Amino acid sequence: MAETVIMPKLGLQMTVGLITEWHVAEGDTVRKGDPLFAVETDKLASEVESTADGVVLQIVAPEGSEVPVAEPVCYIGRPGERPGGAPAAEAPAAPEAPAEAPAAEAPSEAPAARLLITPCARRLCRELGIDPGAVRGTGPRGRIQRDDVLACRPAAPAPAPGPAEAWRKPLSGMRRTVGRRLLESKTTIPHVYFEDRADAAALQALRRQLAEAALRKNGTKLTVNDFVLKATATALAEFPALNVRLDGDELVGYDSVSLGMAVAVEDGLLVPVIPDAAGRSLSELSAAAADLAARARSGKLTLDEISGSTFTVSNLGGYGLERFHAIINPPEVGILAVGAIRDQVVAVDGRPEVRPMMCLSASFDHRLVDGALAAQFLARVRALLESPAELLL
Amino acid sequence: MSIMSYSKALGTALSEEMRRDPNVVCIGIDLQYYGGAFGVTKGLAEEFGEDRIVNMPIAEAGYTGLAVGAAATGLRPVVELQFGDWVTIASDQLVNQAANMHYMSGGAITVPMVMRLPCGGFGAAAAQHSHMFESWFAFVAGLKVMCPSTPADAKGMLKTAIRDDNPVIFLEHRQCYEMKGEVPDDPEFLVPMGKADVKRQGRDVTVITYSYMVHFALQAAEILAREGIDVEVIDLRTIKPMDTETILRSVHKTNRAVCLQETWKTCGVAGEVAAVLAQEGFDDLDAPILRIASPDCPAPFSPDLETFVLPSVDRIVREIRGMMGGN
Repeated sequence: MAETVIMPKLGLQMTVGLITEWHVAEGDTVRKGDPLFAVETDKLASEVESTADGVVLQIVAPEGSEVPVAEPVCYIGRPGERPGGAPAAEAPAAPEAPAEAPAAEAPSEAPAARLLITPCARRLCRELGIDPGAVRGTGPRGRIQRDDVLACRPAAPAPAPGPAEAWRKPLSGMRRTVGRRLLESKTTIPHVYFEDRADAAALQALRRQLAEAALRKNGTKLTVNDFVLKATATALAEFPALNVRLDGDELVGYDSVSLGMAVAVEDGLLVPVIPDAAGRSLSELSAAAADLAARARSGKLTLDEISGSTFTVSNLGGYGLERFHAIINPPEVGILAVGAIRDQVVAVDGRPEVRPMMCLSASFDHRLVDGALAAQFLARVRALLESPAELLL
Repeated sequence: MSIMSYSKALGTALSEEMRRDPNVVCIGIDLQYYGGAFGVTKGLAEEFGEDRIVNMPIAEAGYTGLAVGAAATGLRPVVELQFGDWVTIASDQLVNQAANMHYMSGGAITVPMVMRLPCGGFGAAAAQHSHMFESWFAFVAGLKVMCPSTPADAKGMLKTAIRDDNPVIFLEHRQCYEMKGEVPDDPEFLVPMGKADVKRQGRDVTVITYSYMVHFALQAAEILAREGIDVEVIDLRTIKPMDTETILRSVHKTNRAVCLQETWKTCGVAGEVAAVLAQEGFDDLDAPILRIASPDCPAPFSPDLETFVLPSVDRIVREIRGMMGGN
């Protein structure tokens, strides 16, 4: 009986997947584990592999179609086999037959109306990020042609006199997603910013002291950012009103801190999430952060690993700049932006002294977070970073 | 630059190559003082003598075999058939002997010969004097096939064919012989083997064709231009090896392809071009590939029926109009 390949559930929140590319065609021979198609959700892109050896009998979800989780995408079986599998008379009268019935009937239904579109128009849709389903075809039998797609393209501004273009390319799916979310955040959330500086001398000393032991234990370096993550998670556990997510007109609180950390990846930005960040030791947090960052850069994160954060830390200290303000990652209500540790002249007991200082800038949704609360939170983060031994408790 | 006819350009190519290389000889029927069936070799016997412009009896298989042997042993013969249709008689010499010799001898033997085939319809010459067999020979590994459409190409391509070290089937269209055009005087003017020529630039649709049909495509393009349809015309010039790069580049720009040939539609060159486009240019196609050719019937003797069967400028215009109608 033919194997039904379904749209896999790649994350707890995934309900549908967009098939962006088929790697096989009907009639192709595939082996278990061969890549079948590329799928995209609004959070990630992934490859789906064949679950069986055989021949691709029928593809029921063409490129560009959105398929609900667990719905059939294609059928794999023996050459010449009918996708529906054995005829009804041969079907075993197993007790669970009724439960399987819908799946068995699906392929015998008429296939979904095929989108008539020329190869050129399909390529343009892919390049321009236009959904073929949204294009009105004017060709024979309503076929979507090149000019139909071009007509759907947002009008380009008249080329301004200026330097000749060196290159031009469509935005990647990730860039579009990041852009859409940032625009929505910045234009719908009234951001309010809080700034402070932490003296990082003790933190640097402690990190040096622990460096060798941490490397032995985790195999990865203990970083300044690990202390920042630990301090933030600890402070969030103490200020549960900030460890929340906004769901429509309701705030949702959590018993544990799911801490997002912004990671720059090629042509985009990902925010992998460290679950129960406050409950982890500094060394556990360090190991988790290193693992997530590495897999973010190699594109190996699952949807669950980039979902569900309750607060985010963005640390650009590695790039050496002093400070910046971050945009809130909805539906969270706050984000902490961390700069580099730099030697600064500061007043200590009435005398100027050169100290290693780290800038902290917190952005909050001012609809939900008042200044007093935010100030206390940031002061607590600062205190933990200046007396980091408490983070080892 | 000189203005000269296609046949004169071919004769010029022959005389220049004969002057350049004493091994070049012409073999065929009535080539000496009659100048061959279409006057191409007129005047050559006077300059090069009867030893290099050789007359033959009506025995195509025999004198084509003679040429294959001569080529294998050091000469560079250029064979003229009175009508290309009769290449069928000489086919064994070309397909089984000339095409294979270089390969079967492990490269020890070359067969530098050219088969000049006057061919094509529109002459009310009936079914044994009107056909073209370019697709037969393009199919055979070891043979190259060239089909010039203009006087300049005729000269540059024949010279390239003569200098090629293995057999070239060279189809000259009878309706082109009297066409006049500018031809470079440079005796080193050569048209490279396997290089198509964009005879007209256009944005909307690419017509890929060769030989006499190039002129039909250009006339159709002028008519369609008045309707706002900008046609690009590619002259393949060499059928094999085919310049697929030029074809694909053009269709990448226009997104529409018309494969036009004079002869029978089934298994023709147009089908080969369509296959290249379908496989390598798939993502560029914005309409089904259109093939325009003759129906699979022998060339009628009646001029009216022949005109009805062969592609016409009017039909090309109508079919392209229909193709663009989807817009």
